[in-house]
Parts: sequence; structure tokens; C-alpha cells
Amino acid sequence: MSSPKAHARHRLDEVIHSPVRFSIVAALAGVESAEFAAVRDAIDISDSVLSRQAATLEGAGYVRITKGYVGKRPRTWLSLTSAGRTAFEAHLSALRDIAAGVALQD
Amino acid sequence: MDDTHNTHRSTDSSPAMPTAAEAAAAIRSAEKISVATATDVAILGRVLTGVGLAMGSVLILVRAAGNNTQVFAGGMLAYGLVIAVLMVVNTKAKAAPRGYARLYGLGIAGTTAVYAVGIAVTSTADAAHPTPWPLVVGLALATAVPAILCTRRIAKLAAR
Repeated sequence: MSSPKAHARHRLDEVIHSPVRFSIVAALAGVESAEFAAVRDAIDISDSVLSRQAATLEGAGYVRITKGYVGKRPRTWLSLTSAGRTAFEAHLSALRDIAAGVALQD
Repeated sequence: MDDTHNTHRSTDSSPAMPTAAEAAAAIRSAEKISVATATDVAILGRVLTGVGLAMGSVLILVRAAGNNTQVFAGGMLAYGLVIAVLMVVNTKAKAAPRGYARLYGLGIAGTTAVYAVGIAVTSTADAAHPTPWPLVVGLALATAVPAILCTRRIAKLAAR
């Protein structure tokens, strides 16, 4: 018999569950690193929203934020950490179970 | 921007649970998001091919220069400039698809290995018996092959 905690919603990641953060993590899942502007444009959000949500993801240990220069221009790169990638895969797995109507694990 | 899914509320600390349709929509949206563009992949691939060709051309330079140190120095200066330009071009890519670093490393390692073989072969020659041109050109082309092969694989990386 399954315990109450086996329900798929318990495997949803609270940090990634937010739509904006989910989009950021999904965008970074397909790349090794991406410029801040490329992520912003890909998910169609403002600089301030991306900055705030990326900082939240960095605080959770899911995203690495690297600052540097290309020539004299400052650039910021975002990348998923291994913990972020693992959390995203687990979150996707839970979503797939919910989408498939598999709310309870064996 | 709304920061929560429109979902059924959970009564415990777990995130609110999306409906099956919302979960499916979230998965679809995740699959559609693309950061690394075809342009990014093309830039990264061309730079790797360029590095391979530049390294191969050094073998031709060594053969052509012979004992002329001025020609060799001028050629190496041009080589350095080409590599510098390629590195600048590389920064134009705004995102690197997953798997790129491994393929880039493989391409550079393979090209460097063949290049080392080329240098070893040409270094056995002397002024009286220089390395035959067909062999030099063949080694130069072979030097670029690993980089070109990895460029082709980079081009196939899913541009998510």
C-alpha cells in the first residue's frame, strides 16, 4: 500500500514548480551555458524578472551564475548545476506521471 | 508575472498539484524552449573546423619554410592571428548546446594527436631529403579531420 507521500505531487520540486523558474531551468537543461540575454529572449521575460528568479535558483543550488567580460562588455552566463539537472529530471518525471494519470507510485 | 500554476491546492507543504492537462502542457512547453540557436551551433562548429584547418596548415608551413626561419616566424604569426580571430568569433555564440564541450575537446584532442604525428614524421626529414609534398598535404588534411568530424556531430546536437 502506498504511503501518502508517494503521491506524485510530493515529487514536484517547490523551487522549480514556479512557471517562470520552470521555464528558466527547462531552457538551461538543453545547453551547457547560455548568456543571460539569450535566456531572457528565449522565455520572453524582462531582465529584472530573470535576474530575480535566477538568483532564487542560484540560492537553491540549481543554477550557476557566472559574470565576466567579452572585450569590454560585461556578460552574465547561466548554467544548470548537476543538482539542478537532477531536480529538473525528477520534476519532469513527476509531471509525466501526473499527465499520465499515475498519481501514486508503486 | 503570475508566479504560480493555476492548480489544485494541496493541503500540505507539497507544491500545488497541476491537473493532468496542465502537467502535459508544462512538459510540452519545456520541450519547445530553445536557447542555443542554429546560428550558435554554426558559429561553434566553424570555429572548431577553423582550428583544425589552421593546425593542419602549420604542417604545410613547416615543410614550405624549410630552414628559412623568417618564413616560419611569419607563418606562425599568421597562425596566431587566425587562432585569435577564431576565439573572438567563438564569443559570438550566445549559448552552447549540451554536449558541445565534450565534442570540442574530442575534436581538439584528435587534431592535436594527428598534428603531433605529422610533426614527428616531418621532423625526420632533412634539407637533402624533405618530406614528400603529397605526404605533407595528406597529414595536413588528416590533422583537420577529427575537428571536422566533431563539427559535424556538433551540428547534429539538438538545438533546444
